[in-house]
Amino acid sequence: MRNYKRQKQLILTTLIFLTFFIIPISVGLGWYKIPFFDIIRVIFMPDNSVLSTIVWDLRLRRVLAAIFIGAVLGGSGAAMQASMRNYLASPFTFGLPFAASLGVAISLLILHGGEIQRFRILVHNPFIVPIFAFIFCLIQVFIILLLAHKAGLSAGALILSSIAISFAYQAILYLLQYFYLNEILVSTVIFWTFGDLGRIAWIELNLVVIVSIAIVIPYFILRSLDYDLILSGDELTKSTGVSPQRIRLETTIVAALATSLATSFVGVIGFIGLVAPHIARLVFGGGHRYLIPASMILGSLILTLSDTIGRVIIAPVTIPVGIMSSLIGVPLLIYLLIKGGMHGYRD
Amino acid sequence: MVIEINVKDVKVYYKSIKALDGVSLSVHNGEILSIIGPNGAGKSTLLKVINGVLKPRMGVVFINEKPLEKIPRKEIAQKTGVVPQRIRLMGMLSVYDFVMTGRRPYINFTPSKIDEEKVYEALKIVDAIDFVDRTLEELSGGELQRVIIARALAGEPEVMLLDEPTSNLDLKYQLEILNLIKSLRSKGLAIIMAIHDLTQAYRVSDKVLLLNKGKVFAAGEPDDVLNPKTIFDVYGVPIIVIKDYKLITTLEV
Repeated sequence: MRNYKRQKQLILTTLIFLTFFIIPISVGLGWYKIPFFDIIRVIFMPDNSVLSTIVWDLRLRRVLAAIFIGAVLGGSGAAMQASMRNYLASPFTFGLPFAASLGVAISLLILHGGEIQRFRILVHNPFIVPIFAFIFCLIQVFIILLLAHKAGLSAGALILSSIAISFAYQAILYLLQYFYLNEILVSTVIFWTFGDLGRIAWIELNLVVIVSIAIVIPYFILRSLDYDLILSGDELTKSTGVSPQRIRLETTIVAALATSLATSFVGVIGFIGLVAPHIARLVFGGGHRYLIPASMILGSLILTLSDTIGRVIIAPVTIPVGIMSSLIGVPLLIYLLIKGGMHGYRD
Repeated sequence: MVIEINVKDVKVYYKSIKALDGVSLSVHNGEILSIIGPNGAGKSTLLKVINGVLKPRMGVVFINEKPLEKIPRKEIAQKTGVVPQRIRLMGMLSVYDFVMTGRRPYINFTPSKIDEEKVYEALKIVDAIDFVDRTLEELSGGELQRVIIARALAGEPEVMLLDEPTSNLDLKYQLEILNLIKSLRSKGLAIIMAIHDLTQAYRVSDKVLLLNKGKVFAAGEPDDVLNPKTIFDVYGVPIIVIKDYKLITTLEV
């Protein structure tokens, strides 16, 4: 029985090492190939060479963004699935990225928060876009909580209504695009929704890293036992001295914080929040002691891998990571669902 | 370890429906109190009130003469071990992880070595150590019930609150669970359980509380409560009691 535990620890440790190992590899791949040891040298001793500029200004930033954003999205998905007791729960199915998209569109179009300049979006004020994305995420969280607590909807009904609301956000987004016929602005929004790690700036990345390390990652990890507890029902949770409502509320807010930050800086990123926890569960089982860190690491790995492949596959053109992560994550999940045949996934 | 639970004149309403209407009881360590009564009599509600999950409209629950609302939530959780009628099965939780959640009232951040030892101790008591790594979904009904009891025991409770611990189990498992409950009594725990099977209540209980429509219809020693007249008054079913075998059975069907 101890071997089983050790096996999980071994896989988890391997995945953590793999994540660190993938950083220089991913940095090295691309239109401009860089040898492995040069990358290590430049990472630890930056200079003024072209090499250093490519590593620091182009590659490293997006790889680090993939790692942190993948981690918080994967963790958010696992935490939301547990706290809502629903396999379909994730920032994505709760409509958070769609709400954030609308917020970003409004800030870009109406408040002139940014514009497109030769294939990249120039954000005039780096804080107006994320603030709007965050506000719209909060509106969506507020709607979810209102539906959950005031209307008393079950988690299943909550997801259904969130998906419906997502369509409404998209409808409003289309409406905005319809009236702001300026094709540059419309393409700005469309380009934004593609989800591209390359557009994150260092200052934005720093913000993501600080919030991830200070709030999101420790919160989800420290709640691991409570997520195990809440799976067995609200009544048992209450009788063990823990408030299920509080866990749900806090988890939703922390996940919203993570998702809105990620979405506002890099755009809509596919199913990472839905796919990573399920893959993690099929590998590590249901205990959140392993499931939460595993979902985070798998989120990081899938996102980094997707971004790297997207950058290399038809270089010099880059396929946005939002597209690549869905194309890679979804078949992987379905393969594991069929292969795994574990309880709760098969009749 | 001395523990005494006193429930004084508790009233609970679900909207305008009276779920409990002036219920009182008392149990101390080394005693089994069975709560019996027809469906909807308020058995589960009473357990929730004792556990502090449900606040009564009126009346007080005392643990060692201290009113429940004066005791921190965490301390109540440490003192009581709850075995609900059913739990949700999802998420492929392992038996180990599930039983560890019973240690939650003692854990602030992350489980320690002591918590791990208590989990194995609890699993040993219910003889479930062999399936520590299985998921809850993989267990049979009897195994699952033992694991749920282990979860409650992991929290080192002084009072066990069990809701229909033997329903949905076959005869062998019913016996196993009842023997387990009896062994917990001899360990000095106070046990309050809601139970449907009158014979079982008769055999294991020190006290029986008969609820009907939220009111205490009869309370006392098993022999005083479990007689044909009281049972007929509450259930409307004629029964016979065979005292030599402590057996209660219906006359018809």
